[in-house]
Amino acid sequence: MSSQPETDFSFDAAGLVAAESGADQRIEGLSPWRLAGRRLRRNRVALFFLVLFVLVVALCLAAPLYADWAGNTPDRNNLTGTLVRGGKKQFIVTPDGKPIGPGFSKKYLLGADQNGRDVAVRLLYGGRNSLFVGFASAVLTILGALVLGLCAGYFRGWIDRVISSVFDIVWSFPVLLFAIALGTALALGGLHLGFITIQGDSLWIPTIIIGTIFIPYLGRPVRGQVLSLREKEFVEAAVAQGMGPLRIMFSEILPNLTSTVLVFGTLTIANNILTEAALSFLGAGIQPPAPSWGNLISDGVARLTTAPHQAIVPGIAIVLTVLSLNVFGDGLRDALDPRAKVRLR
Amino acid sequence: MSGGSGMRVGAGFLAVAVISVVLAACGSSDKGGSTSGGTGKAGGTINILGTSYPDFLDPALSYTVDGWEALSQVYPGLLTYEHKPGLAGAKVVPGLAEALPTVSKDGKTWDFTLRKGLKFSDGTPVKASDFKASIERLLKMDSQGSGLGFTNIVGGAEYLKSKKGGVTGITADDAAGTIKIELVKPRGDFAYQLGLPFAGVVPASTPAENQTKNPPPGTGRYAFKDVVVNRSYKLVANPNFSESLKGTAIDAGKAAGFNVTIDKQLATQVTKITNNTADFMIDNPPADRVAAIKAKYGGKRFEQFPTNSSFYFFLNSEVPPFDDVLVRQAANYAVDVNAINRIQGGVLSPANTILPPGVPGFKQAPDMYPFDLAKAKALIKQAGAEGKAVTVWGNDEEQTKNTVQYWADTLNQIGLKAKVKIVPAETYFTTIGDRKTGAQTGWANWFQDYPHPADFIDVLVNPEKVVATGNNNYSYNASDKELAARIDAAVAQPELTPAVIDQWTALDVEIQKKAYWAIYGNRKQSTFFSDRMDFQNCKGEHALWTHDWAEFCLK
Repeated sequence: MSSQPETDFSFDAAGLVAAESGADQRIEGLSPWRLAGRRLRRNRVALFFLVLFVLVVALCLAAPLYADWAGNTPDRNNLTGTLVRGGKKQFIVTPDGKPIGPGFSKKYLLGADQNGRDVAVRLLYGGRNSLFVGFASAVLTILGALVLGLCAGYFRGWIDRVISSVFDIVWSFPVLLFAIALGTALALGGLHLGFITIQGDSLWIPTIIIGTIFIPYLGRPVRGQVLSLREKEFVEAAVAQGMGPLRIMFSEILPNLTSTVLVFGTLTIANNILTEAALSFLGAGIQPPAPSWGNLISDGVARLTTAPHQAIVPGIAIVLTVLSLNVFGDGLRDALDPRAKVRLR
Repeated sequence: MSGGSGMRVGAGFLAVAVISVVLAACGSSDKGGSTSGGTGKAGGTINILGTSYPDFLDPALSYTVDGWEALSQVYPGLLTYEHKPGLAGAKVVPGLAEALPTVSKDGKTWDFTLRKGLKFSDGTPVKASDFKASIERLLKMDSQGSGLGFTNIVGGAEYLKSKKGGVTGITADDAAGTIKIELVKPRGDFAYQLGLPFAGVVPASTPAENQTKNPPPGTGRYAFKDVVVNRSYKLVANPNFSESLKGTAIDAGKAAGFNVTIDKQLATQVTKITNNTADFMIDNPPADRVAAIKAKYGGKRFEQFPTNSSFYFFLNSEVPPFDDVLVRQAANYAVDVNAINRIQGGVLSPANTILPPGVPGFKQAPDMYPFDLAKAKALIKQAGAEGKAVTVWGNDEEQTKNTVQYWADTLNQIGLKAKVKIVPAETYFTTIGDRKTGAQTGWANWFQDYPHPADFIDVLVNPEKVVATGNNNYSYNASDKELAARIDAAVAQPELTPAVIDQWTALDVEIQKKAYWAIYGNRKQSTFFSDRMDFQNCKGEHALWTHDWAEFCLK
C-alpha cells in the first residue's frame, strides 16, 4: 500500500477544476501540488506581494554593492563632514546636531542619522540583519515545533503531557516581555552552554530567543494535527508493516503537515521580523552599532520632529516586508486549501 | 558625582585653609543659612522628568547627580550646604549639629552637639548614635563613598574590612546628644565629606542593605513617598520636620513637593516641558532640539550655564591594549571634540586638561594631543596594536549611546577592532567600577563637588584609590606608584597656596602625558522649565547638586 500524502483532492475534484477552466475534454488528474500552484498563479495579488518581498530581500542582500556605490559603510560616523547637494555645501550633521535629510545624491540618499551615518546603507544592512533573524528564528521555530509536536502527538502519554506542559508554561508568559527579559540579560552576558559560547552582540542571541519563544505557537497546532493523523488507516498500515515510530513520524505523518508548515512558515517569518524589530527598538535585540530596522526606528523616534526620515524609512521597510509575507501567506493558504476553492455548478 | 547623561559627582577633599576660611566665616554658633534664594510663590507640586532612575535612593549608596539632587533634600547630615546659587552653595554650614564642630589643635578630634528635639520624618527621635550607625552602615555595605574619607576615621578602615566591632573612632552619647569623631590623620576636607549625602543620618535600625525600594526616613525638608523603582517617586513635605531645624539651612524649599517620573526619551521630555505637562527635565535636551529651544525660550524658560565638569573616555591601563602608553596617546590624538559636540548639541567646551576651568590648578595650555587621525594610526602601528580587540562601554542614555558608537568607530579607524557594549544607565558606573569587569575604555564624566583639584585628581586618577569594586578611577593605574606619591603629597598640603596650586597644575600635565584619559570637554548644563516655573527668581542652579530643587518655585 502506498503512502502518498492524504489530501482532500479526488479524481472528481480534478474534473471540476477542468470544468471550471472551460476545458472540453477530461484531463489527467493533477497532483495536489500542481493544483495548488495553479491556484496560486491565479492569485495576482499574492504573486505581486511575493515579488515585492523577493525584491526587498534582493535589495538587502545587495547592501554591500550599494554601500560600495554610495561610498559609505554602515558604521562609519561622519559628524563633521559636508556634502554638496544641489550646488550647495551642507553639513552632514549641523553643529547643533541636526542630520541632513533625504536628497538626490549618491551619498546619503535617504539622509543621515545623528552620528552622520548613511541611512540608506544602514537600512539595507539593517534589513539583512532583521531578515536573517526573522528567517533563522522561523526555521528554529518550525523545526522545534515539528519535532516536539510530532513527538507529543504520536507518542501521547507522558511524553505528550511533558511537552504540552512546557508549551503551556512558555505560552503563559507575555511573549514580548519574556523576550525582552531574555534579550536584555543575554545581550549583556552572552550565552554560555557548555562548550558553546555566543557573544552578547551576536545575531544568534535574538535569533535563538525569538525562535524558541514561538515554538508553542506552532507546536500546538502541529500536535493537534498529528493526533488526528495518527488515527488514519495509512498509519495503522505502516505500524502493521513493522515500521518504527521514527520512520512513521517522518515518512508518513510529516509529509501531511507540509501545507500547514508552509502556511504557518510565512506567517512565522513575518511575526518574527516584527518581534525582532520590537526587541531591537527596546534595546533588547540586535545591539548597536549593528543596524536593524528596529534600532533604526528607535534612534529615529528621538528625532521625529527634526529628522523624521530616520524613523519613517525603516518603518516603511518593515511594513512592506511584513505585509508582503502576510498577503502571500494568505494566498498560499488559499491555494493549499481546496475546500475554499472548489465550487459546484 | 556621576549623573544622568553622565553626571558624576567629585568627592575629593582637601585644603584645611579653605575649610578654615569656610568654618571661620560661618561663626561658631550658627543657625545656618536662611531659606533658599528666589522669591517666587511657595507651594505647589513640581513635576520633574529624569532619563534614568537614580542609581540608588539610599544616601549611603547613591553617587550620581540624579540620586543626590533628591537625596540632598531628604538626608542632611551633621553639616550641610547652603541652598544658594553659585559658589555660595558650596559653603558648609551646620546641619543637624547645632554648630560647626570644635576641632582639636592636631585636627584629629571633631566634636559635635546635636540640635535638640530632632525627629525623623516618621516621628522617631534622632539620637547621636543614629549618626554613628549611619556611617557604619555606609562602610558595611561597601559603598562607593567608603573610601572618600570615612575610612580615615579611627577604626573605619578596619570595620570596612571585617564588618565587625563598629567604628571605634565615633563616640556617640545619646543622653548628652554629643558626637566625637577621631581621625587617623588630620584632613581639612572632612567637613565637606560630612555635608554629602553619604553622611546623611538615617535611623540606626535601617538595615545595611539597599533601601531604594523603601527609602528610610530622613530629617530633611522633604520625605520620599510612592517609590516605584525604575518608574517614579515623589518628594513630599516632611510631616515631622523638626522645630529646631526651622530657619536653618535645612529648612529650604518653596514647593510643597516634587513628582519625579522617568522617561527614557529626551525628545518626549522636551515636548512635555514645552506643553507644560512637566516642569523640569534633569538632563539636557537632545542635541538637535537645543537650537530651536534656545531661539524660542532662551532667557524666558531656558538657559545654559557652565559647570565644573570633565567629560572623557577612560582608558584602562591594566588591560591590553591600553596598558601601552603609545596606544593611550593614540586614542587621545583620535578624539575630535567637534564631532562629539554635534552628538551633544553643542554643549561641550573643548577641554584638554583633567581640571576644568574654575577649579584651582587649571591652566590653559596648548592641546598636548591635537586631533590627528594619521598620527593616531601611526602610534597604533608603532605599538603593534593593530587589530587588537577593544570593547567600548556606554550606557543606554541616548547621547551616551551615540557618543560611544562614535568612539568605537574612531578606534576602528585608527586600527583597533572595537565593538560597543551598552549597559543600563542605572548600573553603568557600578559595572565599570568593578575591577573584575576589566572595562577597557568607555564613556565617563565627573562634576565637581566643590572647587578643589583633589576633587578630580585624587578621586579619579590616584592609583591608591583603585579598589576591587566601587571604583571611580577607571584607569586602574594601581601600579603607578610614582604618580600616587605625588598626588598624596599634594593632598597632604593644608593650604592651597600658589605653590601648591602649581603642584596640582604640574600633576595635571603629568597625567595628560600618561594619557590615562582621552579627555574631550567640559559641559554646559541646561535649565529648561515649563511656563509654570518662576524662571527669573528660582532657577536652582547649584555649585554641588547642579540643580537644587529646594530653590525651585512656581510663579
